[in-house]
Amino acid sequence: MSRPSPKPGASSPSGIRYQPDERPPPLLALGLGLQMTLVQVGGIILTPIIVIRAAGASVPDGYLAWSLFAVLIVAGLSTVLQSARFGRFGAGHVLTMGTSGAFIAVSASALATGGPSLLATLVLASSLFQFLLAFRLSWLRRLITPTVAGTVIMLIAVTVMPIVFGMIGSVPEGAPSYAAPTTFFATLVAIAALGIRGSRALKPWSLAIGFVVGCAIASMLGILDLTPGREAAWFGAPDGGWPGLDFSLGPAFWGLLPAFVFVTLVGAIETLGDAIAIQRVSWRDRRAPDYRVVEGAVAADGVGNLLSGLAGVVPNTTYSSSVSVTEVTGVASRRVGIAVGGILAALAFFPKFAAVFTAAPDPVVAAAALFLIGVLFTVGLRLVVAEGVGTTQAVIVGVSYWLGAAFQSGLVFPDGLDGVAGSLLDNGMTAGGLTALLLVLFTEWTGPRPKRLSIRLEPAAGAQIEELLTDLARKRRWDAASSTRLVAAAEEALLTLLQQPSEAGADGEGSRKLRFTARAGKASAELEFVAAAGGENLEDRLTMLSDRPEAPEEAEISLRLLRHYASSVRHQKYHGLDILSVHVDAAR
Amino acid sequence: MSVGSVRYQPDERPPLPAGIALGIQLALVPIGAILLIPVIVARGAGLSATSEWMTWALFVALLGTGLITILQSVRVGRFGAGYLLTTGTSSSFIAVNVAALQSGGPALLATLILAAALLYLVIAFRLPTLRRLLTPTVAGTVIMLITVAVMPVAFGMIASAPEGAPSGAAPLTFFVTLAVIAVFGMRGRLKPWSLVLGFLVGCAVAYPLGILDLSPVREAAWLGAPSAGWPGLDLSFGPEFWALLPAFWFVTLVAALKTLGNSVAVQRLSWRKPRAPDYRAVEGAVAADGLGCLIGGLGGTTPMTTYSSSVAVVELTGVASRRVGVAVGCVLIGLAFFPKAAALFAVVPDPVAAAAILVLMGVLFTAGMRLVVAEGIDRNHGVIVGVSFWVGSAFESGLVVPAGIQGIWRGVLESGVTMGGLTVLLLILFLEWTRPRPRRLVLALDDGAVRRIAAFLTDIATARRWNHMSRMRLVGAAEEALLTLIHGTPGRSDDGDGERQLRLTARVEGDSAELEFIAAGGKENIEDRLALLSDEPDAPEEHELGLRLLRHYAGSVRHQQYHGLDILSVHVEATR
Repeated sequence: MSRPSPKPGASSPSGIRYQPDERPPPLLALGLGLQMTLVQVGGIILTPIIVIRAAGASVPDGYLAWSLFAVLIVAGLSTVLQSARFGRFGAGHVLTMGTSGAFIAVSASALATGGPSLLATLVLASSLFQFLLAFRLSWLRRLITPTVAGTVIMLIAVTVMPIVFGMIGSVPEGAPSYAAPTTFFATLVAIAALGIRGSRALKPWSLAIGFVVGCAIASMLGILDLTPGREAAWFGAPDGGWPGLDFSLGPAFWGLLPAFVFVTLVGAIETLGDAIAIQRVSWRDRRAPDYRVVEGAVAADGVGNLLSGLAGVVPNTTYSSSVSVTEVTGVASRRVGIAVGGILAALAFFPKFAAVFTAAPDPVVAAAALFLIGVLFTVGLRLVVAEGVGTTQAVIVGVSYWLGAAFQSGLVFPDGLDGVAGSLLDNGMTAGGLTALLLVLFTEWTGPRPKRLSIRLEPAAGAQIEELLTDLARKRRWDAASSTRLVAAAEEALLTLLQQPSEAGADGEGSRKLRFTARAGKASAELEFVAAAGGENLEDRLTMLSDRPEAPEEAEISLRLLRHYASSVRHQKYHGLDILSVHVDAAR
Repeated sequence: MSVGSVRYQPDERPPLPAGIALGIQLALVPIGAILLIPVIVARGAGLSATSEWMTWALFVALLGTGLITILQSVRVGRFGAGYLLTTGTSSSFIAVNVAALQSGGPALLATLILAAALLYLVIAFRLPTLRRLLTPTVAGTVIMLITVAVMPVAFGMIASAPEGAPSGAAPLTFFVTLAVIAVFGMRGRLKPWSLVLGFLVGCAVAYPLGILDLSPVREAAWLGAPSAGWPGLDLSFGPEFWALLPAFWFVTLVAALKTLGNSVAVQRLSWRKPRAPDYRAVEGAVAADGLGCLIGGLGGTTPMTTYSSSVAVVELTGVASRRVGVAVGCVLIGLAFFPKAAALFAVVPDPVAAAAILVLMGVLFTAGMRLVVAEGIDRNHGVIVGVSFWVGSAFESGLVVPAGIQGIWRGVLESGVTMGGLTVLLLILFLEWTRPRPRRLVLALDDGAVRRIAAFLTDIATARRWNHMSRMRLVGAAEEALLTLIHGTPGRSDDGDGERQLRLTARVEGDSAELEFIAAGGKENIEDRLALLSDEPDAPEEHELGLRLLRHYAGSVRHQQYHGLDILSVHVEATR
């Protein structure tokens, strides 16, 4: 540590009172933990309730009680793991875990086709994929580009919403016909109004308040049935209900597995984003995101899924609300995360608490689900658009999203397909996600191939780059003037980078690495220079950047000459990492 | 980036043969719907598809859509967008049209459509007052919901084949067509022709499989125009008229909302360098739609509005030239007189059409997504878009409306665009109403205004406890914006003809302030000039200094131009 840090607990300009490695008083940690738990526990309990209601009658008795118990235990354990960090598992930051809404649709169809034991096997199998990729995140990133991830997230909504729509109008026999829509809209209005305009303190509670409002109206209209809450015990653990595992691995398993793997991988990408974001709000001195933390977070996420699979319940993911809560309170100490985990696990032994949620009638649950998944949908939407959408991306996203929806509607092959292909393609997310993957791969193969060069950043690098570019320009039939301009632009850019003082390079100067990428079409070329301190893994650094949580500092460098050759220049500077993108147009 | 994805900008002219060929291709897309919608209406009302009115209605529909398409492209006075926007018979009106036909026949329908046209024109000329409501967020959500309404129909067409065709034939044709359109549409030299290639390949696959039925072409006449069938107008204004009027006006609002979305979206896609949306084009598009409604009413057919598919066509083919728009219009008018050619266009088998619709609506969907995030999407807008899109989809699914509601209101309630559009409007209204009250200042737009505005803003910022630096920045941004409005439009021919009035609205919310300047119209869009600034490396010209300062002070600048009205919104953040 180069400069002295302020005393723990003192308020600093960054607003951070306790860093992850500092220890706040136990009471403070417990209080903050309780607060964070209350914000999140509703969502954790809601997911299995939605899944089980959506799956319908095929769910055995006792499974509901078991899953409410198990999701709390698993969420608690994985939150403790995430915060405390054991070996390569865990982020070591306050990163709370809970059931993942992204799994609602696939879990419901697994429950409906094969019961809880099929769900258990599928979750277990897909968690293994996550372990495989947790230590090769740059592969994951290359496979699941933001376009693919965004499309899959949007398709999650497409697969869940029909279930939710069905719940909007569902009420017990004998209730008036307007009762269900009235309850639904009242709940939705309450949640949305608070979610949009509630004060900072109120916003996290919008779901809970909406639940209360909805149940109050439901009880006035006579569609609220409180028996499950009344019958549940105050204290205790469910006696049995563990579904066991189903190792028959029939066609239903293979058909649903790709959908589970898709959601798991997309979930891992989200975890990656959360793990970077939590680091940004946890430390007083601005530091580059630590790659090991990200790996640890994804690995702990995998452990959470493994535990969920063993228990036979809906899988877990990190909750990004812990990032915003940490940012507000300024207490980023690991102790808070451990407290959250402890409280969650303890709540599992008070069945009455979770049972209160199960009393909510279908329209209320539908309103909450519509809100949550609607917001998830816009997350996917932003992910897609953030990349910048040209016609190519528009066609990819548009076609794969709607092809997914078409398969989900079951109208493409109305007679139905049999076996694995049937359950594979009847799932909109699998069909759409595969389409997106294929189309992305197709454009990469047919587009201009990028030329890559990994060298040391030194003046001599100019010769190698010149050779590569002259070759490239000749292949693309550029005329002599344009080719010269391309080379000149590259050399200017290289000089600019060489003049940059390297922040991190005080110890081993001259050892900076350069990765040069050139992509040329008939009329224009894109050059990308990435320079970093030696000893760093460039791919890993780039993996973290693509989530772009921090605004890059656009550095004004001496660009006059470069501007003359190039039609656009972009320079992004991160800690010890320079990225210079140069766009050159061929003369006509 | 989309460098090179736009082949012909609106002001560029492709060579004449290519222009005509592109026009024919672009007419292929809407023709099916243009001819189908009057038929659906007639069938819904129990009229036979061969009735005299039907033949007449189809003839006028083609003629009218051709005329309005030309008007949208060339823009005459305040009518027309000046962009390639194909017009066709409107699907929004189907439910109310059927109701009108059932209760009073074609003459009552004609009168009601005339009444709807009036509302259209009112909306077109009162657009500035609705500016806070009709934001790109609303336009984008509505566009996304349009695709939700269309897609189930397309899904149903994927597997639709005539009796006796082999069972896999329809999906096979669908996938082949889809692959051709998607692959050629993504990039390459053949991009402008991707649609027609898809149609040709699709039909070539469909023919041997026995799902291309050419008999309508054989039966149609070569040449002709109907001699009779004009229903006239029913000016008795009986109780049926008043009973249906509210529903018609409501649907008109929704249709105008769609046109708004289309005209904002097409502007984003038409230029190589993205421009700020020009609201004069939006006004023109809605006004031209009003004329389309008027022609529909007078001519005794269904109303005509812009087709969203043409927005997607612009993106997919990269052709945005006005000249092509004129060609599309001419082709449509020509088809009115050659029934055989019209039948040839309309004979495309369902799976082929489904593939084209899926790609086009998919592209339109992403255009909606881009509009939604065009101005940066914060959490609130994310919630608004997510909730209203899915509320709209819930109504569209038909699972929400209680069984007790029947008749036309059921039709209205089960429209996702209507209900989702209403939801997004209400949520935006809610967001607007719950903001802190704005402070207003009305004054003459001259150099003396600077001092009074500075005093006004300093007052507000002090009341909000902004620190000195932030106060200075707020005042600085306001001054530069004001000076830009007064002097910053070089080439404007204002020869001191009377005072320009300025209305300043200031809203301060926590650490951020929004200033809105409303003044009578200038010429150039300041937002566009700000965007241009960043590309120019050379030393700034003197008159640009103000703009540079404005950019320096303000977090964001938005300039909306209407006919004779300029609205400049400046956003300033306080530092703590």
